[in-house]
Amino acid sequence: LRSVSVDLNNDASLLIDIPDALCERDKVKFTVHTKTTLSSFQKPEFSVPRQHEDFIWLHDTLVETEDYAGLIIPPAPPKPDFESPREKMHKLGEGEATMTKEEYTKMKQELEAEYLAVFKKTVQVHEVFLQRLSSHPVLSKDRNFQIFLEYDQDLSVRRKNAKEMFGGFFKIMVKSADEVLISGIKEVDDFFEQEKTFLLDYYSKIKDSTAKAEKMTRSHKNIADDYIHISATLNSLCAEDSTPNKKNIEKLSDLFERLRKVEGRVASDQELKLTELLRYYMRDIQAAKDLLYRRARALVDYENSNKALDKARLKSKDVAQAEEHQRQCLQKFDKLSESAKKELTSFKGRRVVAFRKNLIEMAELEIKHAKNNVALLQGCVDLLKSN
Amino acid sequence: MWQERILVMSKSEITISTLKKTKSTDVFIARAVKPCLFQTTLPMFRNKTFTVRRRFSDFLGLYEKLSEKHGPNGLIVPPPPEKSLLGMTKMKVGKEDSSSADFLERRRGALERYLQRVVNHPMLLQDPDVREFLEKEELPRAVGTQALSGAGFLKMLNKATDAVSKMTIKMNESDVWFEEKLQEVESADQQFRKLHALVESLVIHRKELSLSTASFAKSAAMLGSAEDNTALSRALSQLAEVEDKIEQLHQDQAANDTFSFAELIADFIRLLGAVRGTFDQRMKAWQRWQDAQTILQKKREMEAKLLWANKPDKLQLAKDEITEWEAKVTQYERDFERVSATVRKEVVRFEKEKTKNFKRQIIGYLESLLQSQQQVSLFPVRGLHPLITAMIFKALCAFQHNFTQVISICRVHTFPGRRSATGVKRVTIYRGFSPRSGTPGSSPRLGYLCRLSPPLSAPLSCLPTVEK
Repeated sequence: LRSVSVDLNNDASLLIDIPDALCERDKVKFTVHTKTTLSSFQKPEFSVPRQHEDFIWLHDTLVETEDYAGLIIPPAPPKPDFESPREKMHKLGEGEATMTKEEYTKMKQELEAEYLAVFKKTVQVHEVFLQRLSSHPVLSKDRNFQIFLEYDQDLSVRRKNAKEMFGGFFKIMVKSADEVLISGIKEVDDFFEQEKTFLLDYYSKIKDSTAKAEKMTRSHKNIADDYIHISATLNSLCAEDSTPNKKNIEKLSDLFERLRKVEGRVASDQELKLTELLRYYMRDIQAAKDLLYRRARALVDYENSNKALDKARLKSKDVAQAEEHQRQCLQKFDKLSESAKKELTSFKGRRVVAFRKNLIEMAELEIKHAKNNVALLQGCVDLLKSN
Repeated sequence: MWQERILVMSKSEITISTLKKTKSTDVFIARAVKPCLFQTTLPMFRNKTFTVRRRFSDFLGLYEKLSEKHGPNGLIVPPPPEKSLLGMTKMKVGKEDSSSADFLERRRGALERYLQRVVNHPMLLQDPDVREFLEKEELPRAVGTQALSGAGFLKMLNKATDAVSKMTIKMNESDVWFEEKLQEVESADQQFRKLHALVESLVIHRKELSLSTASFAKSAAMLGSAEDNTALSRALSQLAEVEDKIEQLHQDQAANDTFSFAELIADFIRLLGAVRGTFDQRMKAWQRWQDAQTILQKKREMEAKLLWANKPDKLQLAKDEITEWEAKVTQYERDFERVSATVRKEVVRFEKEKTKNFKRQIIGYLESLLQSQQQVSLFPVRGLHPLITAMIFKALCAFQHNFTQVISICRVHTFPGRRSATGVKRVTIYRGFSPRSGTPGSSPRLGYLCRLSPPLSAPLSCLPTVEK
């Protein structure tokens, strides 16, 4: 356990957390708890039950709001995925006959811990999503956001119906066309040119790193599991041994049991500090890329309006209309660009700080675990030698 | 008297190290020829240190000779590693990769331990075949072993033990000690086979870990080069370097798991097989005795019949045969008792050796595990940490103006915040979580508390205080 002392912001006008979550088979029910001093809310403190789909609805609504086109919308939390521990649990059930009772219990414990870790992660990710919204000067005032926090009945009536879902699908299709668009567009502003290049490149690299980090963590977990089995087999050996060797085997079995706990912690710490970090910022960079797409689309609109104006002037028809349209497009584009610049700059800073924090913590934890391992191994060697 | 000899032997050791292997230039059969180095302080050998070159088939030949001579007497003759068709084919083809290097190293270690066991046995050391093996420059090629392929060898062993085990069901065990010991050996065999499979699986997983660490290191390096913040970029490249070094450690560890753990277990399983073999030899001796008794009985019955039928010439023959078989029965009974005594002594010696060796080998394995962990605990400090610290200050200076808020994610205990005099809420956060107790079957419930850290107008106070 470590303690970190932090000064909280004076501005506690809107505090959100998820103190409670319930997992029922596939569905996770989050309890969203809000504490606020803002008058726009009916009560100063309240809680509502929410499902994952409600979060998705909120995210998509924000994305589709024109006014927020110039903002980085925090990425939607990923769906709770209990597939991996459930599959392992199933395999464990099948292999029960070949294991000793102790071994089986330990494996089951490990799996339960893994299940719990997935659960913790999903709560964390949903909580962070809401907290980012609440800390954003513009998004925190969104009406839908308030409804999400406050509406004490089932939100499902407001959620996507079939027609809207189709709309969503169409949007995804348009987005891939955007990728082509964004790379083809001639950028006037140096800042955006740099950002675009950087984000596109960085996204592919961070996606790769996330996948590789996941693999590393899984290998660590496999080793921890192996230690359990080895410890159990040594235990059986020890039980049947009547020679003075019994004590040696016992010590070794004990050692492996402790080693596997450390190995398990190494795996889970690495997962949280490294893999999760990479995964989260991969999604965040996608959100930043989406912002760039929207700006690119606005630019295209502006350029098209220019062409339309030229055409109108040539034909001397509807010039005033075309002029107005062009002016609007330009205004929209400028506003978007300004807001985008601010958002991207603060995003950079946020990312660097988060990387710094998590990498430091990971390095420290790895050192701590290695030291633990050293102590365990040394202890066992000393015990064996002294005998 | 025998005890004395054991003491003498252990003081003057013979250490055997099989040096690196070189392929013979024999065009027809490319066999790995192993130079063996022997060091001894025993007076019976001519030189103190000497080296000879031996082929793998020579080792097998030695085993054959020894087991023929001493096996039936109840000695535990240490078994050599099996011939491996796959391994040798790879070598003949001339494949120079890690798996063939692996194979060579495993075999070298196994042969070394095999020879060491042979010379540690006081009786076997006296055997002229062993002396010849150790000293003679060139050994005649052992012909009989060519038929001993890996699978064939095992099959031979198994058939022999099977045939005798069929006999054991009928044995009237007078001494319960043997029964117990055999039981122990058999269950130990089972468990050790299981353990061996598990350690091999551990090796595979560690190799996987080493591979995935390597590929992550490359990916992190690429990420670092794409990063536009210079301090973070350097930190990421440093992380990549550290992970690269860690990958090497994992590889070394996998090798250690193989040679200092898995191989030793495999060795021990083979040795257990040899112990089973001596029990079987004892059975054989008993059977011989019983068979002789049965024949004697028949001869006596024949004599009685002849007496009754009054055939004087055949009677004399029968009487002679009876005398012969009476002598044989006595001989075989004495043999059986001698073999039983030997087996007993051998098993006691085996158990003592086992304890001593196990301890020594496990300490060796753990110490190398220790070494690699110590290196891991040093790496990040040297490489990553000071760079990250440098990053802090740079990042702070660069982004001070544009920062509004940073949201941090922590797992915390739910804690009532204490209000300080200035109205700034200080919350102490512990890493970890407290599961609230519920009914046994309920789903887990967790406590969470979020906190927002302040704007960077007060930069240093927002830095987490870190425990050294």
